[in-house]
Amino acid sequence: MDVSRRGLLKGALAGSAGTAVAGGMLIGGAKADADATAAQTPAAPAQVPFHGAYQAGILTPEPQQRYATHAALDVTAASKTELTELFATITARARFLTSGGTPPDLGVGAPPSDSDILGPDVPADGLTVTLSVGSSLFDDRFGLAASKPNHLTSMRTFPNDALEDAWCHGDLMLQLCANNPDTVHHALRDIAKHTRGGMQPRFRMDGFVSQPRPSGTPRNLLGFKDGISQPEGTSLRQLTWVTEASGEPRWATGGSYHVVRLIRMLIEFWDRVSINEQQNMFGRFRDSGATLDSTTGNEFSPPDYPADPHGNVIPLDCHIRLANPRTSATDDSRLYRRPYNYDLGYDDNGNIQCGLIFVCFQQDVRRQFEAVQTRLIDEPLTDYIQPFGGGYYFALPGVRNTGDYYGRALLS
Amino acid sequence: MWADALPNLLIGLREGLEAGLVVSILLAALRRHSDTGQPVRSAPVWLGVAAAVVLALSFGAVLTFYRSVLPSRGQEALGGFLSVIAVGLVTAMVFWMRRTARNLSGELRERVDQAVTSRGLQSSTAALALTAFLAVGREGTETALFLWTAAQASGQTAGPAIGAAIGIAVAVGLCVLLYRRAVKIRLDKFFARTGILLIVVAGGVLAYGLGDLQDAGVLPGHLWVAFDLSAHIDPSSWWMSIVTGITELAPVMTWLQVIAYVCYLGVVLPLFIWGKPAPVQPAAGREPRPGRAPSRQRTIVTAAAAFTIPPVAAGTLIAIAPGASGAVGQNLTVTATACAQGWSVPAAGEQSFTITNKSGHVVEINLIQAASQGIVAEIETLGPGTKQVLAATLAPGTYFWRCLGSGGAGARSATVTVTGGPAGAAPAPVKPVTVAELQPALRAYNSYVAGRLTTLAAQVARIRGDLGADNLAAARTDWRPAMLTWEQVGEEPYGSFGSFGVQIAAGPQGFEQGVNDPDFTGLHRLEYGLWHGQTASVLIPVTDQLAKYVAGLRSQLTQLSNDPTTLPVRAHEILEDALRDHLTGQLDQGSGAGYAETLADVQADRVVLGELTNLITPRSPGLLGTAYRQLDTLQQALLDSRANGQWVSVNSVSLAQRQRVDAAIGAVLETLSAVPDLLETPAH
Repeated sequence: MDVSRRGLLKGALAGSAGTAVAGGMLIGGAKADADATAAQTPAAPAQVPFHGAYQAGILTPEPQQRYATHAALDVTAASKTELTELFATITARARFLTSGGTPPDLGVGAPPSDSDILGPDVPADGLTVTLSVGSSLFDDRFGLAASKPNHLTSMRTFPNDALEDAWCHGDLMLQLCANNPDTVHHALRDIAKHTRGGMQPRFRMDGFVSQPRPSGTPRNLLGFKDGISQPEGTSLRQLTWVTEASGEPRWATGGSYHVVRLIRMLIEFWDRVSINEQQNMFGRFRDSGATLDSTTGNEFSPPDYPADPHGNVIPLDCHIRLANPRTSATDDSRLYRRPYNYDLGYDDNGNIQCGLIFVCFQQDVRRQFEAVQTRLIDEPLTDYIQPFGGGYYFALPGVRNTGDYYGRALLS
Repeated sequence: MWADALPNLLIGLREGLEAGLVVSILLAALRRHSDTGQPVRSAPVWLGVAAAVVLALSFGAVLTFYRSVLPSRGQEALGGFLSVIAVGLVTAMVFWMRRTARNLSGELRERVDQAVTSRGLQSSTAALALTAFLAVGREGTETALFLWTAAQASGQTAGPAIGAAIGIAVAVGLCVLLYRRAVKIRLDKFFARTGILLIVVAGGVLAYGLGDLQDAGVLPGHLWVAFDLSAHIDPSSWWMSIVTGITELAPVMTWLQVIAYVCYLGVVLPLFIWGKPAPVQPAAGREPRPGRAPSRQRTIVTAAAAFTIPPVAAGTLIAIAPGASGAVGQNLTVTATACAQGWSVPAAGEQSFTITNKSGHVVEINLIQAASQGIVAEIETLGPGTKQVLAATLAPGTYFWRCLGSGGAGARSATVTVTGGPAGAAPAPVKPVTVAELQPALRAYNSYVAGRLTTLAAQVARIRGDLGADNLAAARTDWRPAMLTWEQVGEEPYGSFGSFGVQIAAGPQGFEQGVNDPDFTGLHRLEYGLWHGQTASVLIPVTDQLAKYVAGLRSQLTQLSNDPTTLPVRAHEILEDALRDHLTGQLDQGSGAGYAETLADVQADRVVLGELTNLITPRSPGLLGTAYRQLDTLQQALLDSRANGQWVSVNSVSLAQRQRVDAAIGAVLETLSAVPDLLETPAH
């Protein structure tokens, strides 16, 4: 071989080696980046549209935002006119907060219009505002008694409850959800500032959704994945929304029954229970979330109850089997859940006060939530949980456009 | 820190030596010329060297400044790119040096010959200077770049700068000694050994630069970590800092960094150590290029240009760098004699102005709408030598600035007319209030207070009488009217009544010993005793003391209550304090009078608002009407909290009743919160 060819070979070898190494690094690096982002939850939407036939914060966005507050309030407005003003004000604030923007400059003659918690330009940050009304709003104060949704009552007491009146009911339920906790705080604060005369707080519970650990459905504070099996697609919409065919008052079309339950978890007791007992109480494996009869370990595979009629694998009194027996008769009692974890502090005995803000939406609270909760009476899990608050509410239909406001059909 | 200095010391030493060698070769060539013919001044060489140094320093300044004004991603990208370029340059230079070291002196001598023999003295001067400039300039900018990137990799300490300075100083010293033949160094061995070290340092800079590019997102794989020893290694330990200082390696490195480092060293080091240097090339002859003789003027101009262009260019680049000055919107200046002259407004709507205070004292600056003489935007306190950004929304109209300086006269700027834009969009301007305008209100308030204090004195005397007769039940009954009279004064605890406010009506919370503290005195101390079974003999001295305080306040009222600017603040502070103290039950020492005290505060607030009516109404016509309506709602809610006409404590009413009061006081406070802003007096 002469020099030039040797040189060429050397050069070619070096060149290809270099290219291979460089190419490998770039491809490997890109793959590592992609894996890292895939392992995280999909990016939360920066903005959820406010207007529509249905309110946001119910079936949208999916998955639900990571932070929320559920604030029950009582109306202090003195007349139906003031109530209408109140709802119009809440609508206006919700419109601004959920789309983001620059707060108005009020000049030197007033304090600042915004608290600046989210900076000078308020980002939407995935905020949804969902306003629901309680049955007490339909008393004689505002002349709305005839318009009450058919199945709306104040929340009944179930046999395993330990309800505290201060944590229950309310004329209104304001659900604020967003991607960050300061966004939620900012929204609640802003709405309160504009509505002090018209409504006053009753109770409030902040909540959060954990990251998937390590993947799949997020977990509750009992360590189990919560919200694995939900209705989907067409049946989801049919199970959730009040339609004209539901037999409810006209104004309620596009609304949904909204149940909030504040459920304390006695986690000190729970952590002293064996894993088999825990799993048998739920009907799922704790680590994977798969049902106890699962062969694949995939949490999303439905259980096969007909194959286990005596409950040898999945106990007959376990939580998922009672809540949803998956028969054709119980098909229409399924509901859509949108829960949040809460973690407050300590009780008087130094035990952690934490648990679940159970939230569900359905077309008919009797046929759905109450039926489910009735099946769950005295389930084994009740030893470890204590529902102490919440209420039944009716989520108003959506605000359709800039001329519309919350409850317009109800109040006009 | 001293470990950070090592790489730059090495770089400074080696590059400095290279540059110094070039200079000494040039000087030696010159000397040879002067030995053999016409003496040639060496000044042009030094001129060229100096110009090269200026260029290198300017380059370094631009690099540093531009990096610092970039956002962090841009900083990393810039640092990364430059690091890779620097490594490329240094690698090429190390090999070039090895290859041409033997030829270097020959080449330079030849250039000097050419320069010297080019026609005319001036031209030779210029040519010499140019040669020196080019030779050293290349070294200098390359050194600046490499020093800069190595310094970035070392972090923010002063170590790299110190190391570079030391290295260059040592290099200069060595060069001098070499030139004078005082020291003999085997230069080829020196360059070979330092070349190896330089390659190691360059490898580290390359790894660091690639890591920067990954962090900036330019290259992928910033999460593809090869190893992470940060848990096991303390990066500040002495041996670790030596290792990282010299090699620029880190406890955490990605695969790209590791492979690049290994490949770079694996390829370059063997090539350098075992590669054969090129054989010595005989210096090729070159014809001197004919050119016309440059004039003396042209030489001076060129020299001047070489010295001034780099710093000027650097300065310009730095000045035009985005975000360099941080100014937003228009820039206005306040001086001792002028107030924001020469300003303009392009259109109506939102504007911002950056206002710099060069007047030498604190100023307040207002943007005033000419028609209403109202303030549209203001900076209450702008310290001397400082600047602030002021945002304003302007409707069409005519505006001017007014500057109020402590010590200076209120200067005015020129007026500017704003056209276009929606008329109603901007918030209403607010006409400032003068202290003089508030004086009548203050006088009215003080005479009202004097009246209340007279009543209070009589009521305290009545309590004293009850206690003297050992009639505790009567004392309790007579206590509440006295408390309410005090609440009707509307004293807000900003110390506006001197220490009398605390002495007459403070709660126990602020005292070390709480309710047992001897400094806990006054109406609430009396309340505590009356509702916690204390005897008359204990409470008589308390009552006597209270009477003394009331008398003291009566006699000193006009001296103490002499600041009219507290009155607009009182308009909402009275009820803010009611919300904080009475509606929470915090101040209740047993009488359960929280709602009654709040009602007395409502009455006080009506009085204050009445006194301020003439000032509020022109500035916000609807405010008082709304406020009085809301005060009525609050009053009714408070009255309705009574059970069978008797006041009950705030904690014992139903939730609905509490919410009613909270709603009403919340609404009126939102309305009243504007009053202090509407009735603002100039701060200076």
